[in-house]
Amino acid sequence: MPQQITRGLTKSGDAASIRARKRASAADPGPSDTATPPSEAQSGIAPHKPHKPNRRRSHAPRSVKEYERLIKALTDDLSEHERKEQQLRRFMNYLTLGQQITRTGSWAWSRSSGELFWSREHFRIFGLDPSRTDVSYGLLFQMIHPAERARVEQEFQEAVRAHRDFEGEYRIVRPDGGTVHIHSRAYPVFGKPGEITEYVGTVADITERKHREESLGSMQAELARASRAITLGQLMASIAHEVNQPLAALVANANAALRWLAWKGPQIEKARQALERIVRDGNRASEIIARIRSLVRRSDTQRDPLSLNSVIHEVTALLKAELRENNIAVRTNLAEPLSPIRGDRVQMQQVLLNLIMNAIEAMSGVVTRPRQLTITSTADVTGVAVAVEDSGIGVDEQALERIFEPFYSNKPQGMGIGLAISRSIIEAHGGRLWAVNKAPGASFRFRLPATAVDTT
Amino acid sequence: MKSADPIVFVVDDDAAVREALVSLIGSVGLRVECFATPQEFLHRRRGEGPSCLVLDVRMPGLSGLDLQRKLARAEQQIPIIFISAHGDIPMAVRAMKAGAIEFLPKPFRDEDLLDAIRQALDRDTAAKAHRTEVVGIRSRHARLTVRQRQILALIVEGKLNKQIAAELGLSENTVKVHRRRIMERMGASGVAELVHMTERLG
Repeated sequence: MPQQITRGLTKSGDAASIRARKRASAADPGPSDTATPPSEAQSGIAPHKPHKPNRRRSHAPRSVKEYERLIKALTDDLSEHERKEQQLRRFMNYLTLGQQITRTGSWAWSRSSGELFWSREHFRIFGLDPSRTDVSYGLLFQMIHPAERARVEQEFQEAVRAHRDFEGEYRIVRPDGGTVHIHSRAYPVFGKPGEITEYVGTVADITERKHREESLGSMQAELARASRAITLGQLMASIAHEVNQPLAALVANANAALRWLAWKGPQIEKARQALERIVRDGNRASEIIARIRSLVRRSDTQRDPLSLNSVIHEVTALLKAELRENNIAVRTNLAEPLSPIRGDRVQMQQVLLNLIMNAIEAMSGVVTRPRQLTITSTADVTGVAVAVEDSGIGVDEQALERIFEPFYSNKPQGMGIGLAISRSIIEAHGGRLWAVNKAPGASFRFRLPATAVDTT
Repeated sequence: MKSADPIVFVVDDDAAVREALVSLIGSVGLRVECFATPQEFLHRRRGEGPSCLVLDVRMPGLSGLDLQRKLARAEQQIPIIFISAHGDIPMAVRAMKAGAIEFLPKPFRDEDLLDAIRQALDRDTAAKAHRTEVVGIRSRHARLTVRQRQILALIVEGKLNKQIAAELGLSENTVKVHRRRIMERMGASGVAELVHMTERLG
């Protein structure tokens, strides 16, 4: 019988309970060798059913009948224990399988000891052998792609400092040289209120999705650039073409008229016809201008209540790939709730798109400090203010006003109309757009009245 | 006006521009003909006289640059002056590289256009004269006998009658007679002109 019990325990694979049994038998020899199991049962199973062993311990078995009853109770206990363990193992297997299927590993990082736990899938994703690797905070960040290491660590440390959830995307370089795209999420576990004991998180291998997204992302960025080019560049070009055509005819007709009149026998009729065409072409040019005006006015009438926070979200979402590509960390401090303004959503998107694209370009040369884009929205009784701040090269103090002039540009490919148009949009909404320097970088700010005045 | 008079062709899809150009070019006494599309122009048979083309760059369908390429491929040389309502520098560079006389942004100064037209017509006159001359020389050369062509080649090399006679196994007198015939048939007044003509033949 005892052998049978021991076998049962060994099968459960619980080394701790075997050790416990040995300790127990040394401490409490009991009346005979066969009396050992009850003591063992007390140490091994006690946490589950503390009352039973205690009761048994109070009186040693006296009769065969009682002995058999005890054995039966014990085997019942053991099979219950075994069942629970099996259940646990099954649960663990499913968990591991689930991690494999979703390509998501889990980790836990103790804030106090700095100890790091990785699940098997975590090791697999990182291309490391669990039996030969000492995981540590340092090792993790060492494996992150050098171009993203500083940004990710900054974001993580900021989350820890603020006791906030962490969410980040980054690439790691595996020991075999392969690159894996990771999406990581984590949340803090609190001991006492306000004291973090550990961070528990996941790492998901999103390489496949990333590759799909990248082709989509570059298309989106292209679209953003294209829409800017269409709205500004192409509009200007088509206006120029439309107006230049009648202007060319007008100037040529005027010259022709002069020449017909200069003939020895002045060609009055020819000159008169040319003058009539001048009148016609002049009217055509002014019609074109009127048509463009009505086009602009029509878009100005779109004045719906609008949350600037949602516009900020839309534009940052559109530029997500562009920002990540340029290794720019984005921080948004948005006042919630933000009083709505009255305005044109597309025009507001265009202003923010312009300011953010400018910020990205201003930071393109920055290597010695983090590239940080901060978008803030604030509200007071008079209206709503938005600030777009970068950690870039800043603006020359003398140029702080001039940059808003049309065709003023510091950029080699710049047309110099982005800021001019942005300012005219904000002013048409009854607001103000200006720039200030803050070390490092520049801050572009605009204010809009809570219910914008219609100026058109 | 005769078909040998110079003529300016205008291709522009804008009717107002066409009318203005007809008047302006006409006011300096030049013949002018307009087309709304490049296709219409391609169907027009050109006469004997010098001509040039005032061509808008951007048109629906075939662009001005397309027409320039098409004409070059068909070896229909005609000097081209481009006019464009877009100040498009890469386009202007392409047009000039392909041999355009001028690229004028609209609106242009009348002097600039008329100067370019004059220059284009001069160039076409010279090119036409050159082509006519070559055609003439070629047809006259074709009328020479095989023996005369042999002798012509040696004359151009600077050989004397005696040397030519020795080389071809003829009498000096026979060579003299041939030489006179060659001069007559080619319409040359001396050896120098004969050399000049054979150079044109290439």
